[in-house]
Amino acid sequence: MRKAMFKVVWRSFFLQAGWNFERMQNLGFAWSMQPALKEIYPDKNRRLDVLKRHLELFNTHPYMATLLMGCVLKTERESAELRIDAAARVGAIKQAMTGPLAAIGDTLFWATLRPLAALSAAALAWMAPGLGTLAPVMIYLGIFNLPHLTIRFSGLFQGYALGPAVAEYLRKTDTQGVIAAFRLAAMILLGSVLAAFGRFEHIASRAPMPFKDNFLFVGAGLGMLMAMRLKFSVNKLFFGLCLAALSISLMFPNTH
Amino acid sequence: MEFLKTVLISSALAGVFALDLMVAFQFMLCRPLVAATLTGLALGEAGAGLSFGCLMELIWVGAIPVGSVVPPDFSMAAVFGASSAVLMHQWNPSLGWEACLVWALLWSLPLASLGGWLEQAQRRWHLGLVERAVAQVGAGDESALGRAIGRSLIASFLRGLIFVALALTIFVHPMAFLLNRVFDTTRFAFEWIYWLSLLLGFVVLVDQFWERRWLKASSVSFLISAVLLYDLGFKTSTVLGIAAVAALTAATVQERRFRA
Repeated sequence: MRKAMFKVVWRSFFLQAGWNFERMQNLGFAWSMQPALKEIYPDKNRRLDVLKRHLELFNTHPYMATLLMGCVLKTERESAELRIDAAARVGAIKQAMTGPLAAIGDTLFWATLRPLAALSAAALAWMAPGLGTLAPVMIYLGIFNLPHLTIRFSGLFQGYALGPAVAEYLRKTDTQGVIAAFRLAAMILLGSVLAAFGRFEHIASRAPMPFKDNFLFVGAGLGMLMAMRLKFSVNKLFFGLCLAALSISLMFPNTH
Repeated sequence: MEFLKTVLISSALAGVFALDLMVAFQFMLCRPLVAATLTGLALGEAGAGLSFGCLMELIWVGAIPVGSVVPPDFSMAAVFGASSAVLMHQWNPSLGWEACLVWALLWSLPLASLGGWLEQAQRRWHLGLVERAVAQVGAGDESALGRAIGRSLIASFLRGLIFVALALTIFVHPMAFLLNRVFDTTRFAFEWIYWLSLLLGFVVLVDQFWERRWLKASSVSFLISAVLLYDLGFKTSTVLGIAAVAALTAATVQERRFRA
């Protein structure tokens, strides 16, 4: 079973292949479960019935899905050993857990770790250019993928060990504390990066920024922040600043 | 010849990033910061790629694929933007990097929206693929699932490859021509747009992480860094190191306090 479990983890990397607007990740989920289901249900006809069951609607966060896969596999195995139909139990587990797992994954990965990785990489690129251009990329990928791969690999085995008790495990897990800590770290780092903005030099040309060593950029930044807190969209702000800069340069062509 | 080589390299990379974007791995190689830097590296201008990637990554860091939402395809846009900026600069080095990067950024935004629309189209196409696979499984063919996955991977790779190859072939020459025409009157505008956009990117991050209770910590970090940099003459890399240690320490203490 252990070998099959590793195959499940490998296949889970393709969970989103075949993502469609009707049944979402159903294809990726069923295909990922296939190696373990082959061991649990050696009889082909029985296995085909189970596969069809797993081809129904499924959607959760791709990195958190292995936790649910482990839990479902445990339930399938127990049901197969007791020779009872797992359909109702598995359906209930999937229905109960996809939402919470998606919420945790979205908050942790998309809303926290991805911006944190971007911030760390950008800070390294602009504040420590001597480390080279690949260092920011490595930092970005490291900060994001270390938790990603840990959760993906350990999730399957944890889910399989706990079975349906995984819901209780999730409830006790301190994701809110971890997210709050990440956000605090990001805000401290941002304070430092914004202070250093006046010393930035262009990565490609090494030319200093126009407001070098003065704090005009602090006023510009505060104005932008105020606009964002007032719910101006980032697209409006970006195109607004493009228009303003172009208008000023066309009106005063001889000034810099 | 140089143009053809750039198109080939960039479109092959775009195919790989299109896989990473949705259907395979999701290691975030497809994020603009990574994709643009790797494209720049492959074309011999890693610094330009990194600075383009930073702009796009930071400004649109909030565009996330929650539920069935498909955000604009910034990975294809990043590959296109980095490649076109490198090409324009190669053709006329007097243009300056800021102008090439901002010009490429402005052109890559509509392409990002078009890329997002193409991804939605692929997801609609997947429906037929999956329905066929379900019917084949019903008829006793277990391997139909693997074949459907394979087709989805090939389609994603080709989508990225063809999209970027076409976009570069169609748009880069008109882009370079127009930039050469407007450069003299707008060169300082491009410089300002570049730096203000970078500032906007960091402001977007402040908005992303905004929590009233952490404002004091952020302000203290700003003030200490400003004193170290502007009064005591510290290097930016040293200040970054100090800030990183402080951030890690504060995060660890906070996490322990939360757990307790």
